[in-house]
Amino acid sequence: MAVCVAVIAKENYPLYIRSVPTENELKFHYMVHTSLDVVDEKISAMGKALVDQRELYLGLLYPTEDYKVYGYVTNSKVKFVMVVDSSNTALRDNEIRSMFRKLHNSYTDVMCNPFYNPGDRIQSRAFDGMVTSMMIQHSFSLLPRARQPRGSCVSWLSLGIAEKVWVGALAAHMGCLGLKSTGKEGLKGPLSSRWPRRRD
Amino acid sequence: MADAVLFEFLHTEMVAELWAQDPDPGPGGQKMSLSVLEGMGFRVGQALGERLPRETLAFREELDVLKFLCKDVWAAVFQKQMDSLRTNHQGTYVLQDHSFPLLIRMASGLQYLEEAPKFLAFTCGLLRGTLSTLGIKSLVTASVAALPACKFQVVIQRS
Repeated sequence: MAVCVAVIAKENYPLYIRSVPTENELKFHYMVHTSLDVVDEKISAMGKALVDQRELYLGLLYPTEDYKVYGYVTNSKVKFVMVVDSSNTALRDNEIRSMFRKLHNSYTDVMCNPFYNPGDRIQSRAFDGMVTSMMIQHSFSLLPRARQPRGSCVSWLSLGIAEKVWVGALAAHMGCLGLKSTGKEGLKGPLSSRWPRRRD
Repeated sequence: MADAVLFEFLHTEMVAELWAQDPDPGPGGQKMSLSVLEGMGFRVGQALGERLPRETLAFREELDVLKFLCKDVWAAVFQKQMDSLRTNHQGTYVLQDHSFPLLIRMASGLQYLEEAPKFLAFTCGLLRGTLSTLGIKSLVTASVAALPACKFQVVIQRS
């Protein structure tokens, strides 16, 4: 059972990110963000390797003490990142693969939806429902986001003080990468500074 | 096969409908309809580019993507493969189809040559959309020398 699921576009901005609401969401957002570097590394390694077999499933990206992060990239360079609880040792590779396959199928359905503009945030309730079925069911949480019509992407917009903490951490991360940050994220949400949206 | 012909009918009606709005379009009006058709094809191509390669492994390079286009996409949409693919290895590809299914019912020769471009706009958009989902920005144009053979020229835009 996943604790956090994210869909990242090929320009590296999030199309959909959702985590179990009881935990601190920023932590998961940051984990997904840092896992993107690992994903990019694996993709470029795949390009240089002369092996014929080029899989879409990237496997375990990196383990932390509490969580494990898995990745999957589609042919259209859309990345799926999934964070699972480390304590759940019953999860095998096959199950993770099948979860990613389900995600891929649902994402393809979203893409084929005429009301969806490629590049927008995913707001489809069907996609939400599928992700809910994959998320861990805590006995004391009702997963209220499943009821919200606009999906759970509003969650990061409603952060206040936590947002400033996030911006600070982000600026530090970007500083290490040698990039500049404006520091004024405004109401656009914490993740938009590092992941500029580029549309055709 | 009934499935193939359904798309052909729909496509013919689409073109007819867009041209019926403006029975005598000046050069500006005609371009608008052509770009509307191309835009439709683009969106369809984007969705197709997501759905078709689902089971295939990751593409290694541009030529692989073009080969996928010629074989799998063409076979899925038109039930046949592209007849020839040529490249100058510098970002230009010419895809040639000797009997394009959307033109084959019209004529086989030089009759209706001026009408042919409208029937190719959607397919150009389709190719561009599929390429764009697979990560390649391109410009696709089509040319007809004699129905029903046509050539699609794909120029990769490298920024």
